[in-house]
Amino acid sequence: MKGENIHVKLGRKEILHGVDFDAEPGKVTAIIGPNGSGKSTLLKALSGELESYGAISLNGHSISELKPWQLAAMRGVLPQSSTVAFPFTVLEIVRLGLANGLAAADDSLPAKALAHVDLAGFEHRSYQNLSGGEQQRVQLARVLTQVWDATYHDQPRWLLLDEPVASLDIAHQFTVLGVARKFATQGGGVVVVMHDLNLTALFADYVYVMSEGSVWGSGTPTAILNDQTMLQVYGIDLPISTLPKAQVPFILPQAMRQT
Amino acid sequence: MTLAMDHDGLNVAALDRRVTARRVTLALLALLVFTSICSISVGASDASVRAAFADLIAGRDISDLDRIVLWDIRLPRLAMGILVGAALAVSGVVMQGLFRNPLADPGIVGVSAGAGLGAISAIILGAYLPASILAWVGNSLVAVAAFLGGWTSVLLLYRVSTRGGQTSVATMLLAGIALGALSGAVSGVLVYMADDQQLRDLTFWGMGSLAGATWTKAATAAPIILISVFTAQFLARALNGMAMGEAVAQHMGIPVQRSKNIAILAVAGATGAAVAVSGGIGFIGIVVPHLLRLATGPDHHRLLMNSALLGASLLLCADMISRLIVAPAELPIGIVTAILGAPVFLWILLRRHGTMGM
Repeated sequence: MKGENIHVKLGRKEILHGVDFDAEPGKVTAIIGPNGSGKSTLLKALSGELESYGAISLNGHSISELKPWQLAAMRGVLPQSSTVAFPFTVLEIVRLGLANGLAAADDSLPAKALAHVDLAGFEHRSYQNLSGGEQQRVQLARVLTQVWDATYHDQPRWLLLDEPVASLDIAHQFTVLGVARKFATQGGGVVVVMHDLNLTALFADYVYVMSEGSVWGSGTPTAILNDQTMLQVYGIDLPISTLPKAQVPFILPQAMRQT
Repeated sequence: MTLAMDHDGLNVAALDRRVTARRVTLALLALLVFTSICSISVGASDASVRAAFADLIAGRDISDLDRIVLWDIRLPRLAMGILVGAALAVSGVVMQGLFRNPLADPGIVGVSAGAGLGAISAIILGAYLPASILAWVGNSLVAVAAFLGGWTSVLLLYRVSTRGGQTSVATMLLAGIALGALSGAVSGVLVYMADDQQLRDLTFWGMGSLAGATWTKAATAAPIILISVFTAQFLARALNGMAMGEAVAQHMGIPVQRSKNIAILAVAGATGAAVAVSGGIGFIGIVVPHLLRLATGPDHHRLLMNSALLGASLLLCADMISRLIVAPAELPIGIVTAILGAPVFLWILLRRHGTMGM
């Protein structure tokens, strides 16, 4: 997945100022940055939801030239939150992914997808009566059903996730990011907008740091999650620590220096 | 298998609503056949019609009077009842899907009011038209004008609420209320210009009625309603997707903008044609989809078809009540549907209150 010189305007205001973006299949690419830095806007441009200027391509095809159903066969998108207008059951919602993806024949996928997100047995519950975190996982199951196989005809498929763990407890944060990791391991591509820097450090292979509508920098978590990033992008003087064993960077708010 | 309990405590684990919906389709077909037969048999004329109908089916000769009652009064009325009932119910389902709100209805976005303005203009201003035009449009003047009024409302509404190919549902809803109010106000001005006979026509038409059913009217409405209702059946997948928001629908591969255009045209066609031939028959578009969602869930695949069937049956029932309750006179059918439907509407409101913050 490639994006070159992406500009996005909402009304008269330009939100993204020429972003270059490159995500590889088989890897989890995270987009981080402060509130309002354009993370979600970038994801929406990449998914084709927002009109953008510049070139965005998926598996070598320009997304503006793909029909909605062709795009849907290549990538699934999990929005930040989804409200459902009518009293659908969990199964009926997950099945919508089935009806719209290419795996339409396999009626057992929704149940498998629900098991993946730790919601086995929730099939006949009413979606509207679930908690926010449960609803978010139902939506992820729907997206997984849409792009069940991480590759299709030797082409990678893509998961675009907008803050998938924002409303989840710590155990299910691992469940969901584990699903994303597995999808990448199987050859698919994952682009995920994240707020939690520790989970980003733990799960991402490559990180884009957004600041004020532009890419401030990018690199592996070890390379990009450093004291300078914290100071220049987030505006806080917070040294990054690393675990001596695994060399995984972690951000310890208690280490904040008083100014 | 684990037994899941829904919030009402019902055991729903073994229940797949798709299977139920298929059974409901068959039951509704049977119901429609039954109500159709009842509708032909019931009326202000004497009971020999029933025997005549049996004779007709058996291939025996029937009297000229019976033939007239059956062929010129009962059957066109039956045909129009089925068409209008199906049109109103399907319009309701499509509007509700489009607006993501179970209370949306063609009446709410001003489509019915626009069609009404067209009809009222025709009734009152028709007399001023040159004789040549009157001769050309003949009896269908009101019908044509109502249809044009409904159509114009939708087009205006669409212009106001669409920017750069994107329709904002909120703007559309509010613009619909404004357009509906404007149509109502202009209609009110026109009513002041009406004479006694016109006022009587207006009142009758305004409350909705199948009493004026003729084969001509049925034939005017049939192609538009059939095309609209048939087209709507293909919107099921799009409406299901849009229930989760337009962005999600687009992510799932649904051509959202095109689907919305088709949905709007289908609603304009079905509602415009229905209002043209039968006036303001309310609440069918709210009650029918709501009852079916309670029974088989919100999946539009069966909801659209089942709504057409139940809408037709329900309107035939309301028509029978309207013919019987003050026989040999008859009550405008719109009064019957309002008396039956308005409490259901309030009930939906009360049930939603608290659960959805409405």
